[in-house]
Amino acid sequence: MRDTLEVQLEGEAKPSGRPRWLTLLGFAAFTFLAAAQAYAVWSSPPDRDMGNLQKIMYVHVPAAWTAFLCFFIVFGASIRYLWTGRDKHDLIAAAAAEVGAVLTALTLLLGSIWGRPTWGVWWTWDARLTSTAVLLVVFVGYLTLRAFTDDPRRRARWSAAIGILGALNVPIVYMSVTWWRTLHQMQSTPRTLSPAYMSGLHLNSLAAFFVVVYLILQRYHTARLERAAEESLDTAVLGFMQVEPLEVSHV
Amino acid sequence: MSEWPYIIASYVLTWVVLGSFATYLVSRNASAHRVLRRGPSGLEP
Repeated sequence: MRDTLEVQLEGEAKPSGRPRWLTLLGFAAFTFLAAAQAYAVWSSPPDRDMGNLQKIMYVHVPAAWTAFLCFFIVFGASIRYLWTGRDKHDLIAAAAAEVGAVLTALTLLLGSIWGRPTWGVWWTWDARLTSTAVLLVVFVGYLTLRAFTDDPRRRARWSAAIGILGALNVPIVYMSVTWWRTLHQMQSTPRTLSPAYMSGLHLNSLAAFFVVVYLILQRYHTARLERAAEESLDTAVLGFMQVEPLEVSHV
Repeated sequence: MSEWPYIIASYVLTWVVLGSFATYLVSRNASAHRVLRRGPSGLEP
């Protein structure tokens, strides 16, 4: 059985249990995130209108930006999969979609916590909130499709198509505050944000970026292990089906 | 003063979500590695 496994993994780097560098990256990324949050919370002055509630920006905005980044990765990897047919790109897209869905859900929850004291409501059918919710639903659908499709080729093709269509929603979410009249404030850019808050936001976005890189790599690595296990099981089943008639004929 | 519960809740939620997700990924990775080591028979080599 071990020989079968070795053959299955030939041709590509054999996935090991858990690379040490990945553990170190995760530890460093989360430590950086904690330090960046501490710096931003303690160093930023209260906002003229929102007071200290402005500090929620350091978790809400990086979560949204990194979720967008994940969906751009899904978009690029899905196109590459359809172009090359290589499993690697399908697994990268799936890993980024899972991390992106978690971050989008987190963005909505954080926005809701921020919205309650500033707008007076937990939720409103505002263009930005609604388009973000649609983005989440699309990628939950993407992950559900992957979970319920057994054939790897069909799963990869279908999810690549949904991934590309779903990622096209990202520019709509980003521009929704400009295109429609919304309760949500404008995009956080140097033009709309006081310089006093920029360093904290940039530092937290960078830290969130490293956390997301770690999460995607961790998920991708696991997906490779699972794919190798799936293929070794398929090979074993095929081998059993081929051997079985021979044994019968001897009898 | 009433704004601090919202601020604390947002940071706690961030760490709970990211921490739980990272833990889930690490345990799923360990589980996948175990399955791969055992092979299709489910027995340790």
